[in-house]
Amino acid sequence: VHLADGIVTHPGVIIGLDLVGAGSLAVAVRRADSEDRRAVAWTGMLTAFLLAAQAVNVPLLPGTSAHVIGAGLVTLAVGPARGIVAMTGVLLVQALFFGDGGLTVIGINIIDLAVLPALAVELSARVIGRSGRALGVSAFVGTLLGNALGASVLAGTLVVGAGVPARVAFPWLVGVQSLAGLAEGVLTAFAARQLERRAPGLISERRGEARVGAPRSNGLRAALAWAAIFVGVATALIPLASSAPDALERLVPRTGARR
Amino acid sequence: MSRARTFPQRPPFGASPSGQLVVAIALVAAIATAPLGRGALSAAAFVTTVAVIAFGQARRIGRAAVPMLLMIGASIVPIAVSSSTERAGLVALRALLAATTAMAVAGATTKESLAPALGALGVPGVVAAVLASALRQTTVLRTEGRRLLLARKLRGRAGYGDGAALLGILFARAATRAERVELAMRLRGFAPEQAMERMRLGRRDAPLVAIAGAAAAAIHLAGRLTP
Repeated sequence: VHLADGIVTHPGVIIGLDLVGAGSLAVAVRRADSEDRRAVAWTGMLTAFLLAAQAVNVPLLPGTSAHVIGAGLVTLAVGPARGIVAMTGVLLVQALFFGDGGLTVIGINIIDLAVLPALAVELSARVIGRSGRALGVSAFVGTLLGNALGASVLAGTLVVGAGVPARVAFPWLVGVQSLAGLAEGVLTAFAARQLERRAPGLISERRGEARVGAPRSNGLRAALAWAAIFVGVATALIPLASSAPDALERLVPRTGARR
Repeated sequence: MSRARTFPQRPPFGASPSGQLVVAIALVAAIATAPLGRGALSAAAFVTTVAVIAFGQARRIGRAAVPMLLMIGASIVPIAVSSSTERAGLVALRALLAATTAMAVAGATTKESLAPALGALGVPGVVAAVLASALRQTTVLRTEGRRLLLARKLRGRAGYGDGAALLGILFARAATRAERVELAMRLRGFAPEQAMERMRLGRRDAPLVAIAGAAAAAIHLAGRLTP
C-alpha cells in the first residue's frame, strides 16, 4: 500500500521517516556501482518490469485492492542495494506521473516498499539459500515477510502520525498486505526459479555485491535464522491480536498505580 | 479527425522540467500540510483546478483516477473506522487534491526528461541512470512481451506454470535487448551528464516557481483566515 500525501499529519513523523528513508537510499546508492553500464541496463529493465507489474491492481477485499511490490524478484536478481535503487525509481515515477504515493512522504514509502522488502528477501536468501529449491522458498518467505514488515511500519506510521488506533491500523494493513504477500510470494518464487533456469548468468551476476560483506559464521547464520523466525511469527500474529486489555492493564486500575 | 492534445507543447512560462518538478513539490507540500478546514481545502481545490487546466493533463488524470482512489481508500479505511466519517472524507479530499496536483504539474514533463530533471535536482546519479534506462525500456519490454504471448498463443499453450516460464524467457530476452540498447547509446555519444546539465534550474523557471510559492502561501493563509 502506497502512502499518499496529506494522510500523515505529524510533521516530526514525516520529516524523521523521510530522513531515515533518504539515509537508507544513500547507503544503497554507495553500494550500487553506477559505473557498471551492464548492471544499470539490467536493473533498468527490471525497473521497467516493476512499473508495468505495479500498474495492475487486483481486488483483494471489498473496497480495497493490492498490487505486487516486486522488490523480492529485483533483490534476488540484482542484490538489495540495486533493488532499493530500482524500487526508489519506481516510487518516484508513480508519485510524479501516476499520483500513486505521495511526494512529501516519499521517504516513508521508500522504507515500506523498497528497503524493508529488499532486506527481508536478502535475509531469507542468506538464511535459506539462493539456488535450486531453496531459492524458491527464500523468495516466498522473504516476499511475505517483506510485505508484512512494510505494512507494519506503515500501520505504525498511521498510529503515530495520523492518530489512528493501533487496534484498527495493524489488523487492517498487515492483514491486507499479508494476503497480497502470499500471492506475490508464490509468483516471486516461480519467477525466480524460472529466471535461474533460463538465465542463470543474470541471477548469479549479483554475487559480486554479496562478496562485499564478510563471510558469515555458522553462529551468526543460526542467529539470523532465529531472528527471522521470531519476526515472522510475531508479524503473522499481529492480525490476531486482541483489543482486550492485557494482564498488566487489568492490574493497574485495581492496584491504583499511576501510569 | 484530429485528436485533442493531452498536454501543451510548452509548459506555462516555458519552464524547464526541473522547474516543473520544483513547482509540483512546492504545491503538493502546501496541500498535504494544509489544515482540514473549508478555507484551506477550497483554496487547494482552486489551485489544483488551475494546475490541471494550465498543464493540460485532465485526460491523463481521468485515466489514473481509479488506482489513485484505491490507494487513498486503503489508507483512509482505518481513519474512517476510528474517527468520524467527515474527518476521513476531508483527509481523503486533501490526499486526492495533492495527488492530482502532482500528476498535473509533474506529469506534464516528458518520459525522456524526467530522469535528467530529477538528477539535476540532486537525486543520486545511479537512481537517475536506472530510471532513465527503465523509462526507455518500457517499450522494449512491451514489444518482447507481445511477441512471446503471440508465439505462445500460436502454439496453443496455456496455464499458470507456462505463464511463469514465459516470465523467465521475457526477462532473459529483454535483458539482452536492454544491454544492446545501452551500448548503442554509448557508442553514439550519449552522456547522461549532458542531459542533466540542460535541465538545471534557471531564470526561465523563476516566474512559475514564484507563482507556485504564492499559491502555496495562499492555501495556508486561507486555512488560517477561514478555519
